[in-house]
Amino acid sequence: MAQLRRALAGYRRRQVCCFAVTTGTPEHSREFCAAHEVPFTCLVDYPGEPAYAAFGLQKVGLRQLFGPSLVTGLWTVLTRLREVSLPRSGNVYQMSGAFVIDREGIVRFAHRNEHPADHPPDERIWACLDALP
Amino acid sequence: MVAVGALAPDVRLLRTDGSAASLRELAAGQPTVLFFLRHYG
Repeated sequence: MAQLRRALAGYRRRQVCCFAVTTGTPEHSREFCAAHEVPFTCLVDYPGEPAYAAFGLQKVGLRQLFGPSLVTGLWTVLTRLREVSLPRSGNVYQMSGAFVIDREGIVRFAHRNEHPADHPPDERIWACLDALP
Repeated sequence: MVAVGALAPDVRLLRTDGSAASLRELAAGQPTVLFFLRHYG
């Protein structure tokens, strides 16, 4: 979330629609987005996460959930302790990702996280956006 | 699995007020970035 907040100006400058999609319920998502100052419009997937699945985002087991190593995973959690909060709903095994879709509805960038710390650099997304006609 | 260069699936999503909308409606013809979050983080 901190990464998204830091990158907000870069997305605003490019005048694109940015949406943060969560699992869970609309009520819990609304509370979460307010508490964590999520800088984009928050949306919620339906139970069973059909939208995540449609974009090829998988559910994973505990091993993958903690990242490339247990030590790395625990370190990530510890360093982000102030930001991490347990959700009141949603699917903890659902992996994340980021996608750029152009004006015609064509996918121009796709990143499916391999582990929780595997976020795409915003510069890669901006480069894709800058290359759109 | 949707690939780069393919048409994005026009999934339906819920706004935080509980109302539903399709991705196409939400994007309204603008370039769009979708961040699918994991476990709210």
